[in-house]
Amino acid sequence: MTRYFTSLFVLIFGLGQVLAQPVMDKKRLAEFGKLTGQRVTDLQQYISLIADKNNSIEQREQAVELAVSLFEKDHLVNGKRRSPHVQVSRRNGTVSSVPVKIYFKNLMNVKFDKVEITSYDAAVVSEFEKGAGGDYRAIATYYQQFKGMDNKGNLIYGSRDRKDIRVTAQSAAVYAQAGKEDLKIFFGDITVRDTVPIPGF
Amino acid sequence: MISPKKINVQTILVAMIMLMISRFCTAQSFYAVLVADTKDPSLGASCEKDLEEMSGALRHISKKIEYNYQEIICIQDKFGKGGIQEAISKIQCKPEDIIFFYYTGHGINTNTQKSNFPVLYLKDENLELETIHRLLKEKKPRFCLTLGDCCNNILAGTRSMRTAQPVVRGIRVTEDTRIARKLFLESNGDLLISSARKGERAAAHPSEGSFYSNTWIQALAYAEGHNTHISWETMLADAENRLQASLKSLPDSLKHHSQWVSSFPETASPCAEASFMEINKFLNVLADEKLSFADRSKLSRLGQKGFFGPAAKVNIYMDDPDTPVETQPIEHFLKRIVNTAPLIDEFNFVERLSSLGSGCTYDIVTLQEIRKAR
Repeated sequence: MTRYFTSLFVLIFGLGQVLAQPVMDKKRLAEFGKLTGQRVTDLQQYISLIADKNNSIEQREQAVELAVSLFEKDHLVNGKRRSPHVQVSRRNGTVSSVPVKIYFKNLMNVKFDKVEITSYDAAVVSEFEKGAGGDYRAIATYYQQFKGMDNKGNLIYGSRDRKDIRVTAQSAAVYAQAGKEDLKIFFGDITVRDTVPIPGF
Repeated sequence: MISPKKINVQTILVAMIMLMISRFCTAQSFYAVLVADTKDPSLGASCEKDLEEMSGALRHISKKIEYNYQEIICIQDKFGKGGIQEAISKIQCKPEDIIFFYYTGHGINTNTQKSNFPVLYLKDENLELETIHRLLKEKKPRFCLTLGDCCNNILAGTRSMRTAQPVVRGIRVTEDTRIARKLFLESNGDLLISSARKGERAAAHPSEGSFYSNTWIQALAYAEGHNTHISWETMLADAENRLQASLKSLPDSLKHHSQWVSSFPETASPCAEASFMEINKFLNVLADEKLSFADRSKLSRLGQKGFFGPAAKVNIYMDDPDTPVETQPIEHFLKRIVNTAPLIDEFNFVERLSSLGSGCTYDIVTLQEIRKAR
């Protein structure tokens, strides 16, 4: 009898879990791909705003808040707290990795009088593919140009990075009032795929 | 003896003829007089595009309201005073019929001219838009709309051709007939519209058509797909907002503003201060990168208080309003718009999928955010 109820319980609640999974056809996933593209350009915009010392502190801090909100929340990995990391290419040619909040904080305090971070090509998002945990994954690539200048506007350091963002579309109650489960886009780690110095720097 | 087969064919034929006769006898008519300067060396291609788009839009409307569409086109040899007069004389109007007059081409005005509406610059003799409107009203239709998309400046001049970004196309066609019925069947009276005020020139895109005609058709299509409430006043105000948004990259001297006069009383809509037109206007001004961050932030705070409830949520969709891709709290959404204004081309608010809370503020907002082409 107990076994019978257990089976019934598993059947009812298990079925509920299956039904709650959003149905993602190609068209729907393409829409999420388009949304990811927009959020990547938002991130690029926030990075430009944060780095630009001509902007007010209020605007730069607001841009940090908005940029951080695009990323996954801190989570536990093997008992250790982990937040998404951003790889940064250094002037000496090395690459280091910092937690996302530290990355944006550092961007507020870059040691150049003037900083200009712009995108030099349109971001590209790969097709979403279903992961083992039932979520969907993609890679977004964006192209970032960094220019550090002195107070006269002379270029001191410049480089061009091609960076990859790990994107996860997790199941979430996106429009709860409609009683539907859908996906929510989160950014994970950012890695430097390659760095090309601007000639002469 | 008549074979059963013959009876069947005869019966079907008679039935079909009867059906057609009864249809033409009972159906009300939607007369569309479309006048376009398609031969003009500078404006011809643009006028041709306008003609095609307007004809398609009106055909679609008349089908929805189940009116018999009767189109009279005045182009080439018929593009003149004679052609227009002949077209008007062909209209055999019944009291329940609709007359729609549309002109796309050059226009002028003079200091001596009393009318604020333009004079149509025709191939034989010029004709005032207001005179045409009066002649059509004399036919006593249920609803008479006259629309002139042309310059309204003091001296005759070439209509400015601008390559600013054309308006967005591909609006979802809806089978819902409520909005078309509200606009074209519940408005008894007349409406006179011009794309430019006295002294202004109207802009056109070399291949995409006139800016005002485009935004007028766009506003009508969006209202059909996105609204439950509509009036001509809000629809024309939305078209005007869209016109200004599409002209924002042009110098101030080339900007123009639509104007209209109507004979019918405005129907009161619930929460007029939070109408779709007001929300669209607020969002599109908020995304105007010409405003400073401080001004956008100030406007955002005012708008948040005036239009949205404290816990309002914003559903953002890509292609289908019924399946949004993201939901954001209103405060986060507005902050994002203030900071990403240079990336945004346009917002389209979906009134039918948004809900008002208490005090005429929205608790749920559904909208489309169109990004600039990169």
